[in-house]
Order: sequence, then C-alpha cells, then structure tokens
Amino acid sequence: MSERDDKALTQALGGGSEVSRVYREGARDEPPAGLDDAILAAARREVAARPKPARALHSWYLPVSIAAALVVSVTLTLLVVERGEEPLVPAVPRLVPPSETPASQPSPQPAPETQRAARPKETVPAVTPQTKPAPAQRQVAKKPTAEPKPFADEAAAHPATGTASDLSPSSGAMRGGGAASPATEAAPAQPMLRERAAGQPAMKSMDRAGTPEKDTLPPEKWLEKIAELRRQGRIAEAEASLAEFKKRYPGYAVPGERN
Amino acid sequence: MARDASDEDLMLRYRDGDAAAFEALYARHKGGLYRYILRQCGNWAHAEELFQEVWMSLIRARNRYRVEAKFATYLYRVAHNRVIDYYRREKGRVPFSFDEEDCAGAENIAAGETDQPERQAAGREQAARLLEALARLPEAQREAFLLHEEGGLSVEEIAAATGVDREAAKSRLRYALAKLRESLRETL
Repeated sequence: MSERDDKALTQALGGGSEVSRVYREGARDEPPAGLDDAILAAARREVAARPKPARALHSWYLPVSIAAALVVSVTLTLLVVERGEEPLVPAVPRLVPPSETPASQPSPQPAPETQRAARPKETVPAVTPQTKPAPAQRQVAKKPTAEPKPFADEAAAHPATGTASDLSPSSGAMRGGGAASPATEAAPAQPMLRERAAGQPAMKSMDRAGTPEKDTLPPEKWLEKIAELRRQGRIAEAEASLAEFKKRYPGYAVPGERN
Repeated sequence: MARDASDEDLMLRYRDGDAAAFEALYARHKGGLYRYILRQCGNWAHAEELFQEVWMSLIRARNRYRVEAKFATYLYRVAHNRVIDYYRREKGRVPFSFDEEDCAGAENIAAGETDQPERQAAGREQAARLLEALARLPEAQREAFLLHEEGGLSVEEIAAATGVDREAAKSRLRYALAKLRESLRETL
C-alpha cells in the first residue's frame, strides 16, 4: 500500500478526510418515527415483563430462605406443643389400686383412697370371706406371679395391684407368697393383710386393690371378672370377689348363683 | 445523566430494568445504524425490517449483556450478521467481496488529490455522487467504510464486528476510501 493511502486512511480515521465530510453532508437518512415508537415500546415491554435480570433473583434467596426456616420452625414448635399436651400415662393406673402399703395409708390412687375413706368398713366384712379363701387366695395370688414382668414392675410400683386384668381383690393378692413380688399380693381383705402384713405388706395393698375395682367396675363387669377367675381356676378369688359383690349389690341377680 | 453515561453504562442500566437508558442508547445510535443498513440493502423496506430486527435482538438479549467490547462493536456485529443473512436470503449467497481479505487494486487509485484543499461544490450533488459511488463499492469495502463512518469504529473494531483480522479490515477500509476519493475528484 502506498504511503498516500496510509496517510489517507489515517486522516479518514481521524475524521478529517474530504470523503468523510462529504459523506456526512449527504447522510441524513433517519428511521421513520413509527419505527422508533415500535422499538421503544418493545423495549419497555421487555422491562415490564422481566423487570430484573436473572441474577437479581439471587437477592430473593435470603428472604425466601428465612421465610422457609420460620415456617418450618413454627410448624415443629406447634407439633411439639401438641404432643406435649397428650397424656402419656394411660388409664391403667385407674385400675391400679392405690399403692396401699401398710406404711402408707394414702394411696397414689385418689379414687381408692376415697373409696377406703368412704367405706373403710367395707374391707372389714371382706375379712370374713377372706379368711376362707385366704389360702386359696394365696394360691390364686400365685397366678399373678406368673404374670409377665411388666405386671411385676407395676406391682412393685403399686403394691396393691393384682393382675392387671384381675378385678378381684383376691386375685394375685393371695399369691403374694409366690414368686411374684409381695407387691403383687395385694390382699383383698384385711384379714389377709393382717395375716401377712408382717411379711407381705403388699397384701394389704392388694386388699385395697379390690376396693377400687369394686367401686370402679359396673356390676356386669365385675361379674365378668368373677367368671374369668373361675375359668382360670382361681376359685377362691372368685368366691371372695363374689362375696364382695353380693355385699355391694345385694339385690343384684347373679347369673349362675353360687349361693 | 443519560447524556453523560457511556453506551456500556446505558446498556447495563437497561439490563437492570431502566427503560429510559435504552431510549437514550437508541437515540444515539439509531441514525448511524439505520444508514449503515440502508446503504447496504439499497431498499427502504428491507432496511427498516433489518433495523428493527437488530434492536429486537438487543432487547431480547438484554439479560445476557456483558461488557466484553465496546457497545458499538456489539451493536454493529449484530447488524453485520443481519446483513449477511439478508444477502443469503435475497441473493442466495454471501457476496464474494466478503471473502476477499485483501483488496487488490486499491493502490492503483490515484490519491494525490487528498492533499488538495477543500473545493467549493454543490454539497448535495457531491454527496449524491458519493453515495452512488458508495453503492458501487464491493459489499465488504462498503461495509467497512460504513462501520467507520456511521458506527465510529476503529480498524480493530471493524475487524471484530465483521469477523476478520485487522489487516483485512484495514485493507477493505483503505480501498473504500480510495475509491470514494476518486469519485470525489470526478465531481470536482
């Protein structure tokens, strides 16, 4: 390339060439106004449709994350509170006579205590029949010894407790001499307790075990329990329980009266 | 504020949602871009169509805009591609001049008159002849001249916008200037 061409190029690039000047004089064409309006409107629509670019969405991550964490926290808190209000202890303790150790007159079970207080004498009459079935009760009481460990544990906590399903105060109570812990031998009757109070304080509690059952179970249920005792071969207990039942419900027709 | 802002700043602001920034950017470049396209198409309807396509491409791609080069280079790169597509569409092929990286014969053009003082001549007539000469230029050289004159691009930027090396861009521009100078001499 000639030096003149290079100089011309340099001059042109600097904007000083004749060609550039003349060209600029003739370069007056402009896009029509309608085209301007259309393009600018499209540009505004684009901004309106997506006001912020994708990278700006990152600014939403923090508040969204915080909101999500709050929702999860509140939900978990509510769940914990709701679960905390649920009773953890089943109604089994109701069936458990008050832990009526001989040393502790008051029973953990308010109902049994109330019952005893209300009818303390009721346990006395039970003495009579209890004398008879004492040995049987004792034997019967052995059955609870065969109860699974949970029962034994419960009985330990509530010495007056007989078998969990045993409504008869005699059940299990008389068997306190068995393998079952003394706690399982809540003698239903005071005589039994008196007999064994020394070595088997649980019998006394067992005695009282029947009281709450007598007081809490309706007659029909009581009779069912008595029948169950008989089926289990715990005759003495059944007889004692039946006696108690008759005293409680003298006018009640007992099916399969054993009188 | 928009008046003092650079093209890149305006485009970034538009990317971030400032429609007014785009309006300022559009006002700066609409005339040059329009003439760039018009001089190559030679047809008003086609020129307006391509012109709109170029700006719509920018609008749609605003979220992806990054300052990697001068905005004008970016704008005219898009426009160059649209023009090439136009050639393919209308003429069935890309003009051969775009394949020539060296413009032979430019050195044969007399350039002695470049040092002559400015001549008094009918401005419009002279310009008209210049435009006619411009239209007769090979497409690649014409484009190089227009990119320089309308887009204000340097040789390097012309090379970037058209996808050729610097020497090819320089050669094309030099050839175009030489031919146009010659046409001016003829009018004088």
